[in-house]
Amino acid sequence: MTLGVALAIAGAVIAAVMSGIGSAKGVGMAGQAAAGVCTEDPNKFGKVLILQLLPGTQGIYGLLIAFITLSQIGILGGNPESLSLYEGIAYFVACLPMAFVGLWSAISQGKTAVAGIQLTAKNPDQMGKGMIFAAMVETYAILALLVSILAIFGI
Amino acid sequence: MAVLPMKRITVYGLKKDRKAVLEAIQRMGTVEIRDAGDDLNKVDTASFQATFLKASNQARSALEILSKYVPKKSSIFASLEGRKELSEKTYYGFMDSIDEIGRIASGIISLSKGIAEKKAEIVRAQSQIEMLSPWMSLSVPLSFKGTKKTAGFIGSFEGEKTIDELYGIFLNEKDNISVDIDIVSSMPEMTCVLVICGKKDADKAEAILRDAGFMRPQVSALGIPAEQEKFLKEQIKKLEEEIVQAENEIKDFDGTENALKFMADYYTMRYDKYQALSQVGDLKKTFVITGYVPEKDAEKLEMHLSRKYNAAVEIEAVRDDENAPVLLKNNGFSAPVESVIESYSMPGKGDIDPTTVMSIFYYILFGMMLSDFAYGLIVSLGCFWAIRKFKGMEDGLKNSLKMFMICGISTMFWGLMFGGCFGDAFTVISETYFGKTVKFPMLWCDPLSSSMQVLITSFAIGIVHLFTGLGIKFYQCVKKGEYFDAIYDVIFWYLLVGGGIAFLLSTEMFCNMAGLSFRLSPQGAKIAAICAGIGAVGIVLTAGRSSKNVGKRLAKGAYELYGVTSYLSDILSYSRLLALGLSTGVIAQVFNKMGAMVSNAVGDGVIGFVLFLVVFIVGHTLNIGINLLGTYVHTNRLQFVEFFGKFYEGGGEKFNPLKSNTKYYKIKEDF
Repeated sequence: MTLGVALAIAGAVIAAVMSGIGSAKGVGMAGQAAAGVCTEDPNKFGKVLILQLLPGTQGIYGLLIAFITLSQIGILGGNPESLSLYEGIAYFVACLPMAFVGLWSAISQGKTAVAGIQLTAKNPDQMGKGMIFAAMVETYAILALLVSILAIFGI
Repeated sequence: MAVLPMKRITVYGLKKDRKAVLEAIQRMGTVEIRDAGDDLNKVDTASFQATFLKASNQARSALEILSKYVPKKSSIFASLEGRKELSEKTYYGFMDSIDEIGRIASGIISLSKGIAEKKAEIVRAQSQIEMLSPWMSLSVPLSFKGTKKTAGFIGSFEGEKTIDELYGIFLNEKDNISVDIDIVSSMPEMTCVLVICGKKDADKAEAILRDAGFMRPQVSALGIPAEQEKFLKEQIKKLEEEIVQAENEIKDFDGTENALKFMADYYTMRYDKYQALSQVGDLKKTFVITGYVPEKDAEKLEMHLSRKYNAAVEIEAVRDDENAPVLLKNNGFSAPVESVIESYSMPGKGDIDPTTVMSIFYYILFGMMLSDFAYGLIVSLGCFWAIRKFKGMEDGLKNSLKMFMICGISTMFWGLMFGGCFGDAFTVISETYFGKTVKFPMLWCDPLSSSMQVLITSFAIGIVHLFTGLGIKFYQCVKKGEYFDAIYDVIFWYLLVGGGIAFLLSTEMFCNMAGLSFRLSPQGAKIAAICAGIGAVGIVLTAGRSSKNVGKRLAKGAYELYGVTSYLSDILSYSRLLALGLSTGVIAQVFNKMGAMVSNAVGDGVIGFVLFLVVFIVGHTLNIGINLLGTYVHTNRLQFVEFFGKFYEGGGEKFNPLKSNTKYYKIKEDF
């Protein structure tokens, strides 16, 4: 195992961990609001559940970045490549956009989802708009995902 | 295809026919009734409306209570089934017994209220018993104050105290009082005692006790504790029996669900009718109904009302300053996305119906983001099955399913293009179990290895999408006769953005980065630059044309020119087509790989394969679910923000005719 490989793994882990934390927080926040709505009107379960799920995608993107990094450096295939230190750093840095943007955007998206859930509680017909508001935040997670993917495959 | 033309309708009739005419309109369901105008009297129906609303709510809560006590098995597809149609016989059967049904509803509600009250009483009694428990060994009532010659104090001290400690309280005092102290019970948190002393010492004893932290018991039952407890327990038992009895009584109402559903629908309909009635102009012997009717239904309605009820019907064109409600009409391919438009906003004045154009892009974008042959197949087959199986399905739901079905077909197409079928399942299964590599056919390229190519394609699709939006704006301007606006707001932007993109294509750096094989010639670049220049100058000169002041106008124009950055971000936004497509594919690959790893670890062929299947099914189900949601949301976003932002005003009001707006039954038009 070289230092380069260790750094690449660290990058993969940090992408999964930080995006995961963000999503857990976001989904948790939205879940509390959704449960509140369901105490009043259990029939809205399906609608608020969808809104609750929206901040969950960052965690998946983080997992995705972790996975392609690990498979790119051969850890998942079972025969790790011996990366140079610079390559290791490159992988580490390539994972960072997803890690940071994943963390923050999921939390912000969670807050937006909470607002969307409140909107749905008062006016169920407007749920589509609540979804779009939350999706606006996700754009930046998608951009970060794209940068990370392009960087990892570019190494 | 279009926004259906509306007509303004006015119906005049004799007062005696008012109810019948309204009912006929409600049954036909083609008129949105509007207020007849301020200068006409209206019937005040507020109290009727309140009564009907209450009755309808009563039926619904009775149904809810009934379903709690007599749970009915319903399949998970029950929500797909739609409302049942009611036969004439059952309709009139229910109608005749509507008062009886009302009594059933209020009976169920009062029984359930009674149960709730009794349950509360039981809780109260139980807490009483709880509080009595430390006093159980007391043989006098809790209200005991003493006998003829003695005074008694019943109460507790905080913490666990011994008998010596308790006597110690009195020993320390100057004037010696002789007392008798009984410990009734003692626990770590409190000690319950009975203190008896001579009547003459009562005041002093009380003062001493109070100083030592003596507290009277917080129990409202003041009899002898053991008897009290027995009484309370009996009471609880009785209440429980009563609850069981009431529950059984509710259960006896099993089978009245249909009647209650009818009642809910019936009163909702009456409520709607009376709400409409409150907008009807009320004259001495005649009435006036005004509203809107789609042009295609106008004639039929006019015939029906004038023939059957002798009413005078006036159909007029909608005036320009009126905000007529909007009803969309599209073919089977495009109509399913109407609900997406509706969730944004109905077309406003001057908007064309964007459904047809949008639907084409909607299906393409959706398919590209999900881009997996098998997922598309599952989604479209599932929707197809549901539509075929449940014929009575509500129209809104049916349209959504149709939309997903077409989206699924598009997903299959893109799956073939990108070679995705359950991710790389073909490759993984063939390598793991058959020792050779079989690949799912790929018609174009693998987005993972040629991501730049797909990214550029995404941008290209985005540019076409945005330019189509601008094109619609052009069409709208021309249709309204605003030819200059069409040039200023559309053509200049076409020149600027189109020229800019063409110019980019002539630079070496961009072409290398995008991996394009061709490059625009220098002459082409020159033309592109000139076009962009004309566009930019045009925008600076004209975008601020609403201001008269020249300086202000140019400043405004320059600011508008800055809006070119929003085109940049709009185009970049289409990178999600690649990103979401990748995320579907890669997550699918993760699950395939996990399954293969588990299977390889076990080694045994059959068990390994079963484990692989488990991981495969769970993983791909999850992936379909999460990506379907993401794809839906982001397809909507691209339509709402990027596409609609270019031309769509919205703000129209949906056509909302007076009709049988029922929840449980479809009430047929004419019996």
